[in-house]
Amino acid sequence: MMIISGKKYLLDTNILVYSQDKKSAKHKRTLEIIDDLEEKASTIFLTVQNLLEYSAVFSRHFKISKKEIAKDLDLFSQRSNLRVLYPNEAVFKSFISLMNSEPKIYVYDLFLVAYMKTYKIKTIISDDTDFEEIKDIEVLNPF
Amino acid sequence: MDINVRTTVIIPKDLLKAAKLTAVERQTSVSGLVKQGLKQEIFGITLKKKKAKKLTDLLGKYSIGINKIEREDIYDDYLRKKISP
Repeated sequence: MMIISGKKYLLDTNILVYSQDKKSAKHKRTLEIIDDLEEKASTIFLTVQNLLEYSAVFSRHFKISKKEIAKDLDLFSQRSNLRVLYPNEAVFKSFISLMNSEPKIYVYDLFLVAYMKTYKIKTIISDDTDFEEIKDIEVLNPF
Repeated sequence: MDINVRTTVIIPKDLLKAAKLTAVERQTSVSGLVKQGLKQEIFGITLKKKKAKKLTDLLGKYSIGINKIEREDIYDDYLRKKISP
């Protein structure tokens, strides 16, 4: 998988989750990707939606305490080369437009794409193939 | 041994914000950064820079064995709980 210097990349929740789980079969590969991103892209983008999903996965599905997860969120939010994107009116308007143009795609996937369109990010690094069906979005699947 | 004193400086808000972030990144304090900067400016002393940790050095905290995460699993489970027919 090729990370190109200076290009904008959004890191999807699944990549973040595998990177934090050292027993995951996908752990090692995600670390390689994140290392590559840190080296070549000046900023790695995440959305607050990814961080909520990350929290839900670890707290609800795997019973990690919310205190522990809060420490992770602190770490991500304080990291100078990780930029967390927040929803705003432009993101919501883009979401409405995507609901019309991409009716087959899951709504929460569309909301992530709405951030990408608003912040001019063309590429998502994800294990989710559904994004491949969306026009003008490039998916880099490391697996 | 140096005696530390408290003082007040007036600096731009953005610079303070950046200093706080840098202090966290370098595992020091804003006071530490100020001391280092002043020593460098006045005496030309450059302290050995601590290499910033890579993000991946801080990951791998949990041992679960997750193979696949689907966005639908996260939300549909929640919606089932909250909205029942």
